[in-house]
Amino acid sequence: MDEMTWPALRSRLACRIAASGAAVLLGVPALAGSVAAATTAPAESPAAAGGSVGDSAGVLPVLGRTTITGSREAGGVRATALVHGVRRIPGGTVLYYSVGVPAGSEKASWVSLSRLSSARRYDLVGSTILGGQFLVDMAGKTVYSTLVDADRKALASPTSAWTGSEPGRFYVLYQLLPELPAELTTIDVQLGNADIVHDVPIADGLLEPAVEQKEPLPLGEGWPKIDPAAAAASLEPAKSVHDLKVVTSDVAKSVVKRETKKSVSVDLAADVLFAVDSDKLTPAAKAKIQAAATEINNRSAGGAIQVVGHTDSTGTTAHNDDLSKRRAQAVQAALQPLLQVPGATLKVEGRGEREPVADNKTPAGRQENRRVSVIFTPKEGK
Amino acid sequence: MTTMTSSVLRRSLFAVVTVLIGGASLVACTGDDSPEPRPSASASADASAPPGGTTDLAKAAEQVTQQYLAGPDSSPAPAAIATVKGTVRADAKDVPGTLDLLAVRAGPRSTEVRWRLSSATTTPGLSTNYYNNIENRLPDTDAVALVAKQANLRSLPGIWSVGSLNDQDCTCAYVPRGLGPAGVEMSNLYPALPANVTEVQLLVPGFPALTAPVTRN
Repeated sequence: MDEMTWPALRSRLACRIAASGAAVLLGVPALAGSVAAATTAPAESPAAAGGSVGDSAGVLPVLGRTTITGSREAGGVRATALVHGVRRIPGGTVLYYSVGVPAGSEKASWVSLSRLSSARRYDLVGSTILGGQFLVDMAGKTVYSTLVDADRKALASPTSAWTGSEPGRFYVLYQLLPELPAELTTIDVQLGNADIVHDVPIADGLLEPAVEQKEPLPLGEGWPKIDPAAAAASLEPAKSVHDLKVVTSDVAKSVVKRETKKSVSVDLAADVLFAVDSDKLTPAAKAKIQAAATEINNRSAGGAIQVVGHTDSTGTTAHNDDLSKRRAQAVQAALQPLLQVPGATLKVEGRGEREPVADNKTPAGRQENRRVSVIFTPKEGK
Repeated sequence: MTTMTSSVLRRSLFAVVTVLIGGASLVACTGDDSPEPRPSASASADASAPPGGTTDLAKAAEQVTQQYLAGPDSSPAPAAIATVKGTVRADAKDVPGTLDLLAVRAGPRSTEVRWRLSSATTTPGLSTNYYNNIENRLPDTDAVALVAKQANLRSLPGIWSVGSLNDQDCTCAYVPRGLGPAGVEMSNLYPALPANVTEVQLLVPGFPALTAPVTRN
């Protein structure tokens, strides 16, 4: 984030802090709604509830809101989830949130919600159903999942904090996640069935007052008591940090970028580069290869750059392996003189039909699979 | 009595301070696009407001609860900002359905799209592989694309790996397990949009492209 953007963002957050704090404290829901409409989004915006970063003005920080549909089924209970804090502690991050189902709902509807929280990633949460929430840093290409203890049990509110809760009340929950980069000021919170609370500000320290959480903790009775040393003592925190792959392209999908923090693949559509079954570059190929070269010159950390040809599943494996390699060689020959990265070396490979990115049963899928990928390691932060 | 009076006074003072801060913020919040830094209201609040006690916390919780959970209609389904008719794929058949775009929230680091699928009749068992890409093997919606023609940009939700390439997840909803007239709301998270983008199209299999305006945080 540049120097001009952050102050503006911080100022906007401050707007939400004070205005929503006033609304909540004075019990004026209409004010909260109107503030939301004026500053961020329609009244249903998760961020509309507004909130506070370490604000002593807002006794009850509500940093964003979303709804979760029970069992992912039409007609399922429509629960409301509030995010109260994303707070840095030594060695980790605490997510404070609460969930409630409307008064009059079936008590059993909680079960349909608990399935949503855990079913996405049983493998990550161990025996604790409440460890299934995530923090997503899309720009930093990273997803953070729950920390676990020595028994591989999620460091989160105990399962007993969920069952038996009454409709018509919010219940507070927490989850410990890995340490976030120091420069990060906001993050997206992914709850339930990937129901997002967008752009949540990050603050420091545990929420007070804290109370022991052994059973459902109604909102307003304090915040779950958390051992401040628990995150630092967690088992293999690096396993709770996941590389996020981001896929973007031009509208026509002639140049597709697949990026993680560690690798960038610029996929050039073979249908633009070559005629059917040919390895001779078309006149239109020049601009696409130049686009790949520009990407490399701006972002590559140097070292080996792979040029990999791919085909669809039409034809024999041997033919596809050969065609994909010849096409990769043609791209390499055109790309080499355009590069300005010192020490970069191009390596050519043909992988035929073995690595499809789309369904070979459809014409559109086969078209996507016919490509030449230029893969390089990006500079840090690029 | 003294304690009660003190408590009431403290809350009243607190409320006044908060209202003043809130009012100042509302004024300061106009013209959000200005890159100029503004005075931080939170700094004032941090310096002057008393710490929140459990009574205040309980009261605030009551108000929030009243706002969102008082009854089935206290948190109504949001209105669509754009709607289109099409089909949903269930049990390998195409069933008439409706796609509602509820919000496109563009932030500095990501874009959240909130959307809803519904069908005129109860429709169990949506065909999950109709809505996802071969790169991901979960019943998710990572084939739902966001297009910004103003930036010649097409984006997909992010995909992350748990440990092996065959065990991936996404920053997107899993498909509904059953549809009906009420519909199911979902969120997908996409990369940030360039600053010049004011409208986008959501591409959901079975529906024409749905265009909607972008809301900037």
